[in-house]
Amino acid sequence: MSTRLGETEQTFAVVSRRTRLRPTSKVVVLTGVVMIFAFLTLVPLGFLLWQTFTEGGALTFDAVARAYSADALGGMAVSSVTFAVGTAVLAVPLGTVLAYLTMRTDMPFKGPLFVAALTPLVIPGILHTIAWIFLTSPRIGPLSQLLAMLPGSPTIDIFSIWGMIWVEGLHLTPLVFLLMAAAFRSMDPSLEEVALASGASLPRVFTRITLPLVKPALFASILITGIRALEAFEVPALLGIPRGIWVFTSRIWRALERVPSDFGLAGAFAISLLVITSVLVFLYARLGKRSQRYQTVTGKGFRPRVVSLGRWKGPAVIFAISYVTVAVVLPLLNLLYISTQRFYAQPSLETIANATFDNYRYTFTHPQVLRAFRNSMVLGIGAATALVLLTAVASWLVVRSRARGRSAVDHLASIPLVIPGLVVGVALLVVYLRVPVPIYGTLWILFIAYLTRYLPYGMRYSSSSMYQVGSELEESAYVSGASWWYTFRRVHLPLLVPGLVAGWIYIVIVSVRELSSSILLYSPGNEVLSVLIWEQWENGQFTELAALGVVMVAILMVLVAVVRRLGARIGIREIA
Amino acid sequence: MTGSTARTVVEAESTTGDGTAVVVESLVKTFEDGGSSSRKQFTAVDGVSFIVERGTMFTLLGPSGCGKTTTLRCIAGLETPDQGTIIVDGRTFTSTTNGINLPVNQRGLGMVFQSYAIWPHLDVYQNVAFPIKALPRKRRPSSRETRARIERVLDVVQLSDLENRPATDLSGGQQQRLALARALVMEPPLLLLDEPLSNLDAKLREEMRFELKRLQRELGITTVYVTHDQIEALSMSKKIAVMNGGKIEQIGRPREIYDKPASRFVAGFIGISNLFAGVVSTAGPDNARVVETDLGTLRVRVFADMPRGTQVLAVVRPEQIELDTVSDGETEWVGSVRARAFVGDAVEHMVRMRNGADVRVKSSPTVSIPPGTKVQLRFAEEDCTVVPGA
Repeated sequence: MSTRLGETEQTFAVVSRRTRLRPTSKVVVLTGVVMIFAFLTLVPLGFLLWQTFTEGGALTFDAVARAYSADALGGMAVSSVTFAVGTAVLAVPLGTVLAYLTMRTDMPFKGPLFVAALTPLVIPGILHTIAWIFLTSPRIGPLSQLLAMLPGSPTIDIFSIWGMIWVEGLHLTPLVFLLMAAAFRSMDPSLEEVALASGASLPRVFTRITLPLVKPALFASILITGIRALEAFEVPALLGIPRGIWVFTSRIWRALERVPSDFGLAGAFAISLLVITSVLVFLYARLGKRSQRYQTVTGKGFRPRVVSLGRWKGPAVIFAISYVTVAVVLPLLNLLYISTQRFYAQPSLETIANATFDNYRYTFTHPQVLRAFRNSMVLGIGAATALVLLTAVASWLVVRSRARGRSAVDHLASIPLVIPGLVVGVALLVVYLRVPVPIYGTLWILFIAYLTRYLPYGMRYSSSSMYQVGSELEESAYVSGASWWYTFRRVHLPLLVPGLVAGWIYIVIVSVRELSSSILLYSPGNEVLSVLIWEQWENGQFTELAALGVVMVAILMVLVAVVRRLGARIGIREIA
Repeated sequence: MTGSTARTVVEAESTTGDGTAVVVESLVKTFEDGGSSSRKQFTAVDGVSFIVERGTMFTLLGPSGCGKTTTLRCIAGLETPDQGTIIVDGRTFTSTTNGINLPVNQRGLGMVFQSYAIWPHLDVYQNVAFPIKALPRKRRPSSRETRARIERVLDVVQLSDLENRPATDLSGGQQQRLALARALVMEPPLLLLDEPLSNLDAKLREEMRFELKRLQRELGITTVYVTHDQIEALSMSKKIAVMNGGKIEQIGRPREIYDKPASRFVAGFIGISNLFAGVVSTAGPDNARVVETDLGTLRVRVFADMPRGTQVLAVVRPEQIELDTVSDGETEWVGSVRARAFVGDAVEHMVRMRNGADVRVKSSPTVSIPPGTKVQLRFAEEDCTVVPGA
């Protein structure tokens, strides 16, 4: 027996009968939200296609031809694939093992490891990449120094495809960790216990029982790391371009950086990338549909009993400590060190003794930095607030209504998942250079870019919260005589608040980290923090950059701590 | 509360006598079944009609999926019927022939949901105040009047001292009463109850059963009650409609439903029944019939048109049967005790009959016959109801 509400059609019918042509607030609000969604997702894509495939009003494949006749196209394809596959090969096993150790074993220090494994999530990609350049730079990088002490004095060249894979892989490991931790958490531990009781060794149980059970999450991790690597801009730009290692994103960047910008060429690369990511996301969505979609959001279920590591405990601890040291502590510590120096020098007792707060003083007083702070915060908070409210309404439409085409709204909101940030940037550039709306050169264009990019995140937070609000809570409001809009404001919104706040902070975090669309859309005076770091890097202001980076990471960490608190609360407290 | 816009022709046509509060006529509701791929129609409510007398409790009783909740939701306006007419207190809520379907929030009914649907972010007072606050400003009573109304209704359900408690701190029974208070605060012409007791534990359920009945009587409020629990239905209702497969099988007072089930389904669903298949062999005057069964002959009265040769089922309740130990000579209604169980207020015997059928017998605790004993079933033929067979 259905428990959903069937009064959508009915309201329309009655309205048209009783008060002709006077639309209700419900119709107005819902139509408005759907139109904004369409505007955010379809308009940029449409313009991108139009720009790429037309020339003076005629259909042309000229841009595509130029893109694919470019020399070293084969090289670009090969390095793109190598980069994506390599990143997945590094990040997936690393994140999986870490997640298994923290979620399912009796390893000591699990709590600190959990926090440490997630920390890199808040480090903006640009900062992460620069931190690794610092760490491995010949002669003065601490890691190079350590290696020089080893026999044969090996050296690292971070400016190579291997360096790119290493840095991107480490950057995406926390994402894999999160996905796999959720899968391990919701796994029935008795299945492993039976295998152990039958005399199988621990590694055998892990490969034969545990891994197959979390296969859907594992495939999802592989696809997501692959997609994210293909979309990544920071690593290929900073590490690849200097040595002529090109991937899709750096090609798009190059096409736009040259004067005059070649929008057709950028569009051709962008659409190629779009096609590839769409295929991967489609595979991912099919995967998600087959496994249970919401298995981890309820917070119900058992607390898995832990597996005893036995003689593997020592190696496990060593592995975890080395990971945390290399991936988290060293880069951040080095950044912290550099931020206290007057100029970038090899760490020594002398330089540490000469530490100074000048860079922090600069960071907190320089008008350009302060303006970037303000811009990032205004944009992050503005985008998060707008998205949370829009998606709250849309999630009612998708989850609770029986309106025709409601699933189309859901699909519309997930379109940006397949659009790399750089492509969003290109598309919006095309739109607002053509359309006579004075948005280009203001913060508004960045605002629209963030809305587009993070629409799917907002939608996910909102609809999973909406699923938790029982439909009878809403129906009893209607029976009590409340209108849809009154019910939405007085019943839904208050009950959605915990989930919306978590989503809000998450969107603030990712917006502040955002670089790949901002880098194309900002104009002088409208820099955001990540763009400022990019500029400081180009200007060689390494020590100021380090101080700014440290401040940024600190702020984002606080926000993440708040999210986790809230996330835990929502998980426990189920609403009707 | 009077949506004057909805008063229409139908109202005049259906001259509902002063005694009638609710008219439901030829109600049909279908759902799209399954996913988007298979566009299969599933008929949840299939031509349901009934009337409810003013001030009485009317119960829709049936197994899950029988359409009782969908019927209730159609009255509430939470579902849009495909066909049918719903009139409450002279107001036409739904009339598919006239294209009328009043939105749920303009019907002014009170409803208690199975989950109670207490808003967890509001306290007790605010929950009850919600229906008043939702009124358009013009029709909203003064704040003093509002407070008085809320206090009155909280008093009726005995929650006055919990006014400022967060609703989530209430026990199951208190939440139930809060839901009732919220449903009653607007003094609706009709109260809808959707399995309101099913989330309570057994003891509390019994308490609330009496409590609900008392309230309904005292307030004299017309009530439509949905349940799958026959004891609730039998003990609380003025009239019961037993539903199955989207249709009403029988409407009647509790006694009629229990004593004179009109169909095999009703006989099987209400209480425990023993069914004996047979054929009408003689049709006498005054509805007297002779029914031949495998186990013996019955002389009964029937309430439907059952000519000679009709396949029928004879229904006998376990408590209406007595057991006698018998000698080998007897052939009618004999079997042997297969199992017995002491259940506190009675002893239940399971008797395996000659034809292999098992018959349940509920006897007073003093009767206890060991398994293996040959017995004969005795029951008054007027206790036996005959319903159409197979």
